[in-house]
Amino acid sequence: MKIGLKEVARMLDLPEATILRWIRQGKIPVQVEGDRYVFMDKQLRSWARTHNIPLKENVEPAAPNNGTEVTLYEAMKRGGVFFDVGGGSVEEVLKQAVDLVNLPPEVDREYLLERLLQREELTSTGIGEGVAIPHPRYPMENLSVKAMVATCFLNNEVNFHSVDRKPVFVLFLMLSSTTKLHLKLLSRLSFCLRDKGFLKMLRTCRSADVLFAKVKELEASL
Amino acid sequence: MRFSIHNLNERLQLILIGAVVGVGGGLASVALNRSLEWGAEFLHPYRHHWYSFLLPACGAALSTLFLFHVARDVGGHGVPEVIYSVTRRGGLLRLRSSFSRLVSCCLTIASGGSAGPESPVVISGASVASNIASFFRLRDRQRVVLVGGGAAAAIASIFNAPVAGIAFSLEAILGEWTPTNLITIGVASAVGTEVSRLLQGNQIPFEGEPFIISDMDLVGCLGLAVFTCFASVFLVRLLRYVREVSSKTISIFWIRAACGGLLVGLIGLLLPSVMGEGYGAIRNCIGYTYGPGLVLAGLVVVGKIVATCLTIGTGGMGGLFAPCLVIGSFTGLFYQRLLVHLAPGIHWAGEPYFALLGMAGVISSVLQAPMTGIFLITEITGGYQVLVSVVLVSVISVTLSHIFEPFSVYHQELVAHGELLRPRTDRRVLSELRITELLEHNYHVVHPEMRLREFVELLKRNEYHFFPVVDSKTGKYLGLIHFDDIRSYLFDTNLYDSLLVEELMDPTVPTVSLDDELPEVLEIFEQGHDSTLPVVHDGRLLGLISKATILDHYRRELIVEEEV
Repeated sequence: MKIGLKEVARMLDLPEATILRWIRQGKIPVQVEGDRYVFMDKQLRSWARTHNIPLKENVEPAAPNNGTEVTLYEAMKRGGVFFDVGGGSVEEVLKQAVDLVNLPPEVDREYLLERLLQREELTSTGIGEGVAIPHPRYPMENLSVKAMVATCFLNNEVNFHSVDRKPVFVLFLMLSSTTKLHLKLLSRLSFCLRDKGFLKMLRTCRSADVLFAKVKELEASL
Repeated sequence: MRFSIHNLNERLQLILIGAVVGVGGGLASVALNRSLEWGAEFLHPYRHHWYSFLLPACGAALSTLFLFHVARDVGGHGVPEVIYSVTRRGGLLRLRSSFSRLVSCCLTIASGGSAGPESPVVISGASVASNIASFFRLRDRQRVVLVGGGAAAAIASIFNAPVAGIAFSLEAILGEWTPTNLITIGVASAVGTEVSRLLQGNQIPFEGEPFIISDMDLVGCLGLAVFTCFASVFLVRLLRYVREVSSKTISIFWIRAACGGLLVGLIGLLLPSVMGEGYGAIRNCIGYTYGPGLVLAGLVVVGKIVATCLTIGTGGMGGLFAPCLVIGSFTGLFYQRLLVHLAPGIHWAGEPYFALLGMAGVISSVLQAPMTGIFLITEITGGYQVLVSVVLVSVISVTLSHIFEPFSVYHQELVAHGELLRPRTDRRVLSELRITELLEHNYHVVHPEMRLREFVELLKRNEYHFFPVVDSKTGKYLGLIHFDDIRSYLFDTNLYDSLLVEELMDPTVPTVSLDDELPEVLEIFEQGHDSTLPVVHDGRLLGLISKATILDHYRRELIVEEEV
């Protein structure tokens, strides 16, 4: 099989100028066809092997990111929306929330609650404006879905020790399999929360569909 | 006096000590020569008895028992050990290696085992040189050159061939032709030769009559290169095979050597010319005195190859030089008789001419060292008038055999273990740099409970890009934060008080341990896109290692090795 100069430069991860210099200096096996250089696949591979040079294989062009990446909208749909969650303290509402949400079978509810409280002990997850984003300390590595966000509207506002001291009325319970994913969802959610309209909508929200539609709209503007 | 030598110019210093080393190498080879002669004389009366075929077995068993139990040295027949020591241990060799293999080899060869005295002499000369260098408290770099000198002196004095000694040392042992190497080794080789000439007389070991050659012979010798190539490839491969099979089937080393010796003794009953180091057989070839015909000459080639592999492959002590010469001379003889048989009309040059070329071809191919082959053969036969044919056969034979066996028989084991590290090669430089030398400390350690707000404050105050996260209680390394990875979260003031460092860090960054070899680390760099990795030993962070620092050190390493 014949390979062109461009392709060889890509396989070796070097600029074409380097390959051309190597050809001039006779450091790489090459053949001349007319006025262009051609490399023989087999010859090139055995050359790379004897010199211990790794060759980059032909990779399929990576699918556009939005196809495979988890969006906040998807994670929220997976987590579901729950209204009238009871409880008067941080522990109580978290316990209620953990009992309510649909969890994949591999997640142990008691263990999850323990992890959530552990995280609250470090510092409050109440990020102000009556919103808290409880999540377990350390990512859930055995989570079969990549990430999920369960939205829980509280019956009574609860003091979450937030920075701005405002009582919390809504929880976004966030579970993710990696820190990277967690950071991404967190920053997207934070982006939504900076929108005044979104905050207003949360205060009066009684329907999951309205919430999802708004999130989708905001995410699209990112 | 011992240390006033350090005040001298380096080359002068090496020349002086090189001369001392040459004396040592020369004496070692004279000692072995004398004891071989004595051994052969002592055993001569027993060779005519029916039980004589048992002699090689006894000799081989005693030889290995002596080496491992009396001298308590480690195995191997010499040259690979010297090469390993030169590349990995700064030329350090044990003092006992200077005599252990001489005695052991004497037992093997005098009893009839098919092996040569050269490899043991090489390690003796090298070990004497190494210990002389240590006595003068020289550094690794000078010791390595002197070890090369010791090896050169040994070869030079045993064959009375100074240039072959130089070529062998540069090609096979040191692998680098530099002025310093050449000067030191030249002196050692010259002195070594002179020592043996003083004690044993100045004789050309295999001198023949002058040759009369025609143009047809020059063409004919090209075909010989094909024969010598196959003979040497056969030898190298069979040797490897015997070594593998025998070490798998027989676990007690002296019984293994004895079995090899027994088989050699049986072959010797049919073909007596394969026994011993075989110098007598070579003289027969050179001197028109080998009577038997074409087929028998071919049989001797095969028999000698098999006997050599059985002797050395099973642990008998001895080198490949002399067997190669015997195989080569019989290959040449066989080829000449074949030519005469096929084209009787043409007047071919005599048997000695082809025997000599055969030796050059086989020794060059087995060692993958054409210069050694060319100089050795011209010097030991005095055949300077056929230098052109010697060069042709050597070069063609080496080129052909390189296709089948790309490495010298001495280097193969080292190559298989990735230990053949020639000077100034990538692997050599990387093997010498230690990870502790490459550690960087341009980072700021943070704790997992730190909030993003404090972290941003920290970022404002220092210029670092890397922030390793370390547990505040146990001190264990947890993960790494790279400034670039978290850039997008830094300006999200909403999260300042609820995001913790442990949520920002990447715990999946591959870590490097102090025991890792640099090539492995570079492979990690090659795979991912990280340019800096944390070095963690026993859970503790020791520093960072980056591609840029490696390049920096790599360059300086090459610069200090340069010879001015």
